[in-house]
Amino acid sequence: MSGFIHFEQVSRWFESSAGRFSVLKDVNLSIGKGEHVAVVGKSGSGKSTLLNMLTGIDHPNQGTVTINSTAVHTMDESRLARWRGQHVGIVFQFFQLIPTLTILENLLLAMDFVGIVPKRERRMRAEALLRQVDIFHHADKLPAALSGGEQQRAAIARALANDPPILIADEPTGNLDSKTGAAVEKFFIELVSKGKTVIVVTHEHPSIPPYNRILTLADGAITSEKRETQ
Amino acid sequence: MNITLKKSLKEMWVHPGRSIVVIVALVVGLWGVGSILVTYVVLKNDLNENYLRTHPAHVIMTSEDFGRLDLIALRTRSEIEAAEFRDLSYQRIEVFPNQWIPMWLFGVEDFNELTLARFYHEEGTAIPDPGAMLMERDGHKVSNLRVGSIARIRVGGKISNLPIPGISFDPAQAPATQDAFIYTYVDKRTYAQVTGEDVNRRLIIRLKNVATRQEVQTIADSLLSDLSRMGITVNTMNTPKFNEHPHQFQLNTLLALQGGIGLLALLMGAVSVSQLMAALLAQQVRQIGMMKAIGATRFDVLRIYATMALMFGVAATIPGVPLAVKSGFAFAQFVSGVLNFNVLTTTLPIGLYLSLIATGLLLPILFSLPAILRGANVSAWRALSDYGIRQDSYSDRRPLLPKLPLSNRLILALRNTGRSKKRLLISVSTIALGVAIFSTAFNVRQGLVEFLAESRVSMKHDVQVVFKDQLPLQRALAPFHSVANIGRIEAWNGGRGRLQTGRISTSDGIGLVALPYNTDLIRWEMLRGRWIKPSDEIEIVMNQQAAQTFGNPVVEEYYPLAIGGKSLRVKLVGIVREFDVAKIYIDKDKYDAIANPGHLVNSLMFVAEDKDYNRVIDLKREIEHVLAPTDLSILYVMSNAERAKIIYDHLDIILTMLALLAFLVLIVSALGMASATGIAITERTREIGVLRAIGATPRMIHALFVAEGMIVSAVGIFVGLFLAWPLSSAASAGFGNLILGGRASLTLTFSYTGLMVTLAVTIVFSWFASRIPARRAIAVSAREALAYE
Repeated sequence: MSGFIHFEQVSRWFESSAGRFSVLKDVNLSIGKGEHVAVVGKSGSGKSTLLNMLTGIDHPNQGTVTINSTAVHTMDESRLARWRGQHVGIVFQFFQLIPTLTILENLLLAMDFVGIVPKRERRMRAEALLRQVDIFHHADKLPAALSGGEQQRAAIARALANDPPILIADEPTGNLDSKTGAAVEKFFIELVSKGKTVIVVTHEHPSIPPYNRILTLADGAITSEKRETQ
Repeated sequence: MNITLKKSLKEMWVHPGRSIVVIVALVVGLWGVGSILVTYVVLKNDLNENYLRTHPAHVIMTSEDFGRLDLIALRTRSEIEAAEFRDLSYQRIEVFPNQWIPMWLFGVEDFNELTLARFYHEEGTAIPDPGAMLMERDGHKVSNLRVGSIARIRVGGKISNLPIPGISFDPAQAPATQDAFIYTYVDKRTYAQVTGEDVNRRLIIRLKNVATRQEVQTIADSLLSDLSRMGITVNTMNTPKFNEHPHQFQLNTLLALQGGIGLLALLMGAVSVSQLMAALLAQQVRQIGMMKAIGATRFDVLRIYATMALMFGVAATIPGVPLAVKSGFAFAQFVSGVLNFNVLTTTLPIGLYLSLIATGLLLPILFSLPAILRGANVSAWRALSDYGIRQDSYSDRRPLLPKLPLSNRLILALRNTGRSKKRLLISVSTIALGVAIFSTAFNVRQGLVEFLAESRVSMKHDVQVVFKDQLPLQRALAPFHSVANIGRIEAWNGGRGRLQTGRISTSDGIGLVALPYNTDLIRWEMLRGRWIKPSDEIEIVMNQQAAQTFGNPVVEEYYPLAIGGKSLRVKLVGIVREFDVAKIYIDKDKYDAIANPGHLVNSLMFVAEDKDYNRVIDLKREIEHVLAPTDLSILYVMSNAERAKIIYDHLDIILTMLALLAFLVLIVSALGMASATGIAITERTREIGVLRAIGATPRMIHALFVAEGMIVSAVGIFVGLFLAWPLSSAASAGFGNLILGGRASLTLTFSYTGLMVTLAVTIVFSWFASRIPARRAIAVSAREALAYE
């Protein structure tokens, strides 16, 4: 076993009245610390399931998922939630901010759940993150009052609230215009330069650089892999 | 503010209308159950406290030989706390011009030193001068007599005018309004002058260290023997119910009624909260998934939504508890006015406040817990995979609906109704419970009304004249020769006897009514056994109050009965249902043979030729008129209609409360229904968008949700009416027992008016409960609905 993130023979399938439907088939994968990885594939290729395995949101039917020496596939829901809060920041395609809380409160809630940032430092940290993504002036607004790009930046700030080593983003630019999308991508590059592992699921056509690796998924299997050195 | 608390608070107001419905339902429930608890605490203590503070007598004896009694020596006996002569004479008083009602005139030994059976000064003079009398305050309600009035008292043929210089308050007596008579108090000299009776004939005694009526009875029996040894023959001895106000039964009934219905109202409020939380969690399932994705544990989720349920509790408790306390006291004041006692409690125990607050805060959490746990336990993956329209939520393996001649829209409404089985069950149960209770209230009310009607017809006479003394038949009939509208007159007699039923000594004496066994003037419903028949044996029948007093004696058994100093072996052949004091019925011929050789009578039962109400009242007036110049001592002249009114007055407060509380439950069930429909709409917001996208107009969607609501209501009403039957049966039995005593139950009666009112009210409530949230459904645009998460 090697790598910061390690998948070994990971399979995921669903049973239905129509029979067994495989989403991931014997996936083996190793991602190092500080890598910037793109996962690409068509709709139904298994990208979202792979992402769910990476975040511990879903469990494999078969195989092991080890992240930073933690066997994620063996953890129960509560331990997983706490672990995820500390180790993985997730950016969703549709932002998924809590609509009833302000942008600042969305960040504070994430810190409140995990509890690793001392209480008195939380507000300061949240404000700093919002400044970093350039939406501090929207701190006290509800998500609905922000544009898509601003909401996505808020979602990134929230993903970083507990300073996780891994950032996983599901189609982070899918709902953004090209200019805003480029700004988000630039921000991810900065994070990688600071030592974070960033994994982005996208249906677009990524290139090297900025990514170190590009994994292509089709029918639940990794069909090709491009590396920076190639 | 803590961020989780902030989120909980904000989530409460995402759907303010629905949250308000839930809070209102909880407030109504808490208010209902709280005011009941407060009333209970106040009344439970206060009626008894009012009664006990008077130092009520434990034993009451009458004798013509008390002149031989050394009262001072009697008072020194170790078992006696206090004893005094408190004579009592039953006379009549004019309450309005030419309107006479019975009056209890007490001859008081010393107004300055009432050692037992105390009454209190209320208004005017506390101690009447010789020739004047005090009137008990409840007399205000049945007369125009006030401080300064001159009361006209009829004793036999003599009318005395007595000034009323003061008003007293005697909480130990049954309320005058309910029994239609007045209590008055004079000194001994005035008593003798007015009544012409000897004084010191009635002795009231309070015993030391007694805890039960049985103990009182034992001491009373030994006292009786000692008095007998002194050569004092006691004519009657009575041991009133131990430490219990005469109208405690009304209070018990009221409290039982209130308690049951209030609790149901609170439960319904709590069920509404549970429904709301279930819907909210179903709607927020993706948000839960997202929170879990960013690090929220099951406990974090649980904390957020439990806090929200707690906030609902707080929002309901803040207005609910003060309302409950205020209305509880107000209701206690109302009841105290009706039952003639003072509310003594001014502060409530802290435990009561804590219980109310705890109920208000914890019940919503408790009822929301299953939904919250379900939400908290959903995995992040499942939560994030939720897109609103579930394909697996409805299954119809053998589709029947398409085969029925129904429109597609109605089929959709029917199918939607059954989509969430659990919610359907809760909604139907809520409505069914409301309908069942509302309907039961009407049925029990109808049972009581029919009982009253039955009481009226079971006594088929129109006017009854009861003489104070027994007198020859001809003398009793003499005044009425010229009176018009008399069909016939039947003469009865009565007195007091002592019955021995096993362990219970019945030396307190019981009223005996001697009447022709074959009289057609009464038709009591037999609870057990049969009516008196001609027999070689002496047969008796008792009413259920008597049966209760004597420990439910066995029918067809023989018991010793003492009448006029003779001990007889009588056979109890039946028990009748009658709302009156304990009585025994015996055949007049048998009674005359034993105790009434002169064939004297003490009451005349008049049957009018023309039974029109006004003609009967004219007859009663005419009877009063012809009695006025005679020297006959009359206890009372009463029409059957008045008698029914007295019974109705006893039950009226219970009937009114029953209807009000049942209406309250129906309101809460309508709120629950509105809440459930609102929840269904919120849950299906995306689906509404899909329907709009495929061509459904707002009107169609509105009609769909109203149809769904009405289907649920129809099922609820059907189940409720079905449920009302056993509930009405149990309630009729329970209330009958509380009101009538002696294991008597009201006849289970179906109220058609009740059915119509229940149907009308429930349908109207359901219509509004479905229509209001349905209007909200169409206020959302197709785009908003499709984008809804």
